[in-house]
Amino acid sequence: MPTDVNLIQLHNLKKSYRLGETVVNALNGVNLKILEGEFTALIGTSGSGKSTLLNMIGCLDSPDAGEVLFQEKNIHTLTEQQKSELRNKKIGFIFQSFNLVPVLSVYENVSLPLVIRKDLSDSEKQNRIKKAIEDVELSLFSQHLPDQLSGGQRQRVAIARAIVSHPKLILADEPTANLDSKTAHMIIDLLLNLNRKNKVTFMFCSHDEKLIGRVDRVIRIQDGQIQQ
Amino acid sequence: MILWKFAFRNILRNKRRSLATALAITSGFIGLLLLGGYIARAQKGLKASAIYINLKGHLSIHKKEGIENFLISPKKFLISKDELDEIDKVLSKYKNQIDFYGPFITGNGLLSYNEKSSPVMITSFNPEVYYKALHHEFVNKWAKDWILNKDFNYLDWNMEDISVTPSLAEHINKIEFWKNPSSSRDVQIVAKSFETDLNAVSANLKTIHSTGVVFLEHTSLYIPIKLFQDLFYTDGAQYISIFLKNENDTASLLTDLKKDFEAANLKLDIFPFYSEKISAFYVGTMSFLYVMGGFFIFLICGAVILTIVNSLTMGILERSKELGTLRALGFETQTIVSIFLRESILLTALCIVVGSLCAKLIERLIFISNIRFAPPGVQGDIQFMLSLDLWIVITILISFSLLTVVTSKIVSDRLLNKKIINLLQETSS
Repeated sequence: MPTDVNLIQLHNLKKSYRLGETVVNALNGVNLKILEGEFTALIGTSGSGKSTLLNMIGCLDSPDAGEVLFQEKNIHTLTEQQKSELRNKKIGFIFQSFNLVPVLSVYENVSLPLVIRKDLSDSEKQNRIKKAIEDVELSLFSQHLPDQLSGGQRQRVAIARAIVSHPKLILADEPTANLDSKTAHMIIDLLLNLNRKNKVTFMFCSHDEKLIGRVDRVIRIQDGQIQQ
Repeated sequence: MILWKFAFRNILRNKRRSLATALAITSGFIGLLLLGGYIARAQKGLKASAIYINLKGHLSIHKKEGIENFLISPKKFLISKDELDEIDKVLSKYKNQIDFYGPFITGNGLLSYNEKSSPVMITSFNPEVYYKALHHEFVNKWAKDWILNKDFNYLDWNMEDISVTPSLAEHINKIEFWKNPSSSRDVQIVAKSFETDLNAVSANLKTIHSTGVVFLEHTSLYIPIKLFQDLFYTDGAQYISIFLKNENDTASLLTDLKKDFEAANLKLDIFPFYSEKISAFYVGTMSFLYVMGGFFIFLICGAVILTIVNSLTMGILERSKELGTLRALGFETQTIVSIFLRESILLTALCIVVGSLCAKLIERLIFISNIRFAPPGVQGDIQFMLSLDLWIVITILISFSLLTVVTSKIVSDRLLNKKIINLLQETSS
């Protein structure tokens, strides 16, 4: 359940893109707060700005104006190295098309965020990887390559990869878009379970209205502005 | 370790492209090894010719400015008997470095047999020094094609015995005299002595030799220095050739001897065998080979660089989304660059092993095939051989590895220096 501590604060966030001759205002002065432990859905139509907002929070892109505070620190004033460290230790990502490395096994894919961690011992890393794979119920498939897994299993690998570094926040961009509805519900159940069990904050964007009832809070975005 | 595993599997990911890249790198590596082997072989042959066959030694001592002026004014630029004794004293200090040395004089004259005469360029020496030079192991290994009349016993060389080139023998109608023991061998040598009188001596055609250089081959006459000194009325020498035990001592001994001669107040010049003044043919030919080699190295390296750039560019573009994901997971750009460097190192290491084995096999096949050819400016034909010395292999190996790694680093640095969001949104993967 969410606490009353702010994890993310967005202040007057703006971002525009140039598409040929046209300037598209993807984010048009967004103000938002996300509490620690919240399970939040960002809902909006295609092109409403939800993915852009997620990218700003995840340090994958920079805003034109405004600020993103992560645990009270403006993350867009950090150096590239500090941003990399923040993404590695405090933010997990789940992508719509899984983005697994096809030549690495499930175990190796899950281990990727820990490869560059110098502060953890090898045994600690191994324990975390095994635990993450157990949490997504893929222990029997740990030596399989992504090509040998179903869509749902691949997304579970991506979830394990996101949780293995024990992040404060997990951002998921349309995590169920490439899955059938049954598997999509299973994935949402899994995310919800991890949220409850590990107290990790989840924020995912989707245009699937059926998922709204499963989350703590729904944030609607339209034309680059938060609706409610 | 996982990054090495990752790199290895990436090589196997697109087998056809990796194979094409590996073939290009291996071919380039073999090409450089064979080119290096050919130049090294040519250098050794020419060096053997310059130092031993043409008797110039590793170091050559001349009277001050004598190298330019001796033939114009021989008496003035002759090293006197007293100076020769002084030089002996200096050289005795370096017994550990010097294999052997001896005095030489050259001059122009006329060689006559019956009514046939031919102008000659006479080189005179101590026969024992000539024997040691021709029987040196370096000559035997790299220039044995230029040792003629191999059965001849050079130790059985009297003061009146002389050696001519086969072409000179032909000029005086003594064609293949060395094959006919009963053939008359009495000849005369006529020359204008250093005292300006015309003088003549009788001589005995003893054997034949080759200079290894085509433009010297028609006029070269070798005679003992005592005979030369009788003919030219002198007891001095034009130059002293020093043959070293270790070629690597050439530069240091050159410096030491210059100091010693200066201290002994001897007005002498001293030149190494790689001086243009001493071995113009060696220096000129090697310069040409280096320029030619440089051009081919440029072509080979250019082709290899283009192949690596092309292969890496394709690989990075294809894997943009994956690389963006790694960045999103916290990998810094340089860590991702290091994955591509690992790929290059693995591929290059494999190519170097295969390339080295192939080059060694080719070297052996060429040697066994006994292919003969006549290089420009060189007398007669010689065996086509390659000399794949360890230092050549190591030098090329290190240079080639650096080339592939640096190319990979530059290309991956440039292509990966993009925003994460742009990498993630690439559609090519």
